[in-house]
Amino acid sequence: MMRKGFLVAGVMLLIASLGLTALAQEFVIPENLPILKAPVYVTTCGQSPGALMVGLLMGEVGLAYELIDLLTADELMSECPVDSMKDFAGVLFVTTGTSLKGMGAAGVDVDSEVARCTALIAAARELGMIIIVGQVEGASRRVDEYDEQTITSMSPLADLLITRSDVNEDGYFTTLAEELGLPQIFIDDTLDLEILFPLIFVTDEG
Amino acid sequence: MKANREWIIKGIALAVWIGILISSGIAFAQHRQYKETVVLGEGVTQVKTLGDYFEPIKGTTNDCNIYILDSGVPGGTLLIMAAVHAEEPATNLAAQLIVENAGVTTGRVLVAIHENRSASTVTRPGDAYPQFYTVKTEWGEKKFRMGDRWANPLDSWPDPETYVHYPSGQMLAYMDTRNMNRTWPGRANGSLAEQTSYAFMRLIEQENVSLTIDLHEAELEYPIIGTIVAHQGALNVAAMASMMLTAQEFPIGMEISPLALHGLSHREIGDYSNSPCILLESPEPFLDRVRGVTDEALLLTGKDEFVMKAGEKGLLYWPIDENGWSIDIRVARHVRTVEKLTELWTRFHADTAMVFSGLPSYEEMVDNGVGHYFTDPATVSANRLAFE
Repeated sequence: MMRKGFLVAGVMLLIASLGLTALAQEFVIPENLPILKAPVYVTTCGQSPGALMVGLLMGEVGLAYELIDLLTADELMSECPVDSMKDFAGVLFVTTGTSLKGMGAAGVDVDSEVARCTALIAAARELGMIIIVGQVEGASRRVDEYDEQTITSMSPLADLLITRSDVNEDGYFTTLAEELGLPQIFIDDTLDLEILFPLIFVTDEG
Repeated sequence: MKANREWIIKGIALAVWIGILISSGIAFAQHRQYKETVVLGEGVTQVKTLGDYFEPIKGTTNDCNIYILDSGVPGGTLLIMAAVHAEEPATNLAAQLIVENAGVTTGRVLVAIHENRSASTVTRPGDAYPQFYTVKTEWGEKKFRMGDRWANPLDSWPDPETYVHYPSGQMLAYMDTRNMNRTWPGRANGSLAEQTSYAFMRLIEQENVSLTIDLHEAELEYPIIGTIVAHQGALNVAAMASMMLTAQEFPIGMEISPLALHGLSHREIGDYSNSPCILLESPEPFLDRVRGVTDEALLLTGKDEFVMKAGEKGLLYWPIDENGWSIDIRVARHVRTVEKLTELWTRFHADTAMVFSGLPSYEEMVDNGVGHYFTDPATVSANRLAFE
């Protein structure tokens, strides 16, 4: 317990020393939080920069991650040797919310993005991975039907929801978590992830 | 008798027509010839012009000033470009505020206040654009030219049937041959906007620019608003700036520059030089199609009941309320974002560090108003004045 306290204090000091201190944020960590261990595969359902931000902040706190914007089920499967399937204690982090610029540039649309990520999550489950679905960019990524489609397609498939509190004004995320019994963590700002990640990811020492 | 009456009516009509022609011609000429006065801040060490980097631009309408703020301490070079779309006035004001107030303690900063000067010599009379706008200062009013999105047809004519972007071959609307944010990386023998883009590319090469920032404003009906659009070479910097500013100062999103969308600064400058480019968009209700009265007040206050109504109907990509989006807030967003991007660039690229000093905080700019940061030209010597 004390060791974890030192770890958190250490991370806070590191963050402060980098000049990246987020506003003070009290997280409510759910009791049914799944065990989260790196490596983390990060992808975006909708080609918004949320996944980039998640990866960037994971790098800042020293978590091993791989950011692949168009990660497919087959690519994920090939990352994991067959004989170690079911023991692959990794995490798949899927961000929701769309970018028209991003989807256009990648030559995809919202339907193909939802199909890709649905198959990806199914593959991750086969591998025994934990699925985090995050709406981490806030209200600006919940403005149209495309955003809604990625949010409502991905969020019910999560093992853990990480959500910007400003996109829950209609209570969608709280209701969903209650109905499906999903653990859920709210953040006020994307930058809060930098403080949250060390709190919820298990390191080899701890 | 009847014939005489007809001739009198025709004569009066002709006189009225000539009167309108003369008065509007005078108004157009006054606007085109008006020069904004810029006070060179203590940080400005030299003023060059764009033509110094590409001779054919020398002496043309687009031979704009390039303000150089050199710390004398080795580091990187930042290029700030403003008013490429001269109907986006917060960009012009933000750049002038930086020229008048910024110091640089590491590296160099280059500023182009009117990146496409020709576009600032014409407005859109058919859309009832005002020709000028004034900002209140402690010593009086400072007057600026309003402009248009495209270079003045007087400087660039005729337009092609279809504008074919060079070198991608992508086809665009005919008038975009005069839209400098569709002509990057430019070409030496192209239209005025293409030549101007080409000249800036030579500047970027010759000055060894590390990072380019292009300032813009956008209508609230446009999805790319209140945001940072970044070339792949500056994604970390842009993402971190978006997160930090949103958490600590004001909300600002981030978009990644699409690889296949050609002619834009955030795409081509990074692809054709060693300098990644970041484009900033602030919210300008004046540009919204659903706006009401199109006047200087709307330009400066950003308050419009029709745009608000569109927001209530869910037709906007950016919020607006009765407070609107004032020019002070829009300028403050640009200045602070430029400073934050520079700070983060330095963190990620210590070998090309660039450090500002002396810029006001976001709160100070919003509280004091942008006019507070402009010096009275009458109080400085003539060799510390420049004209735009």
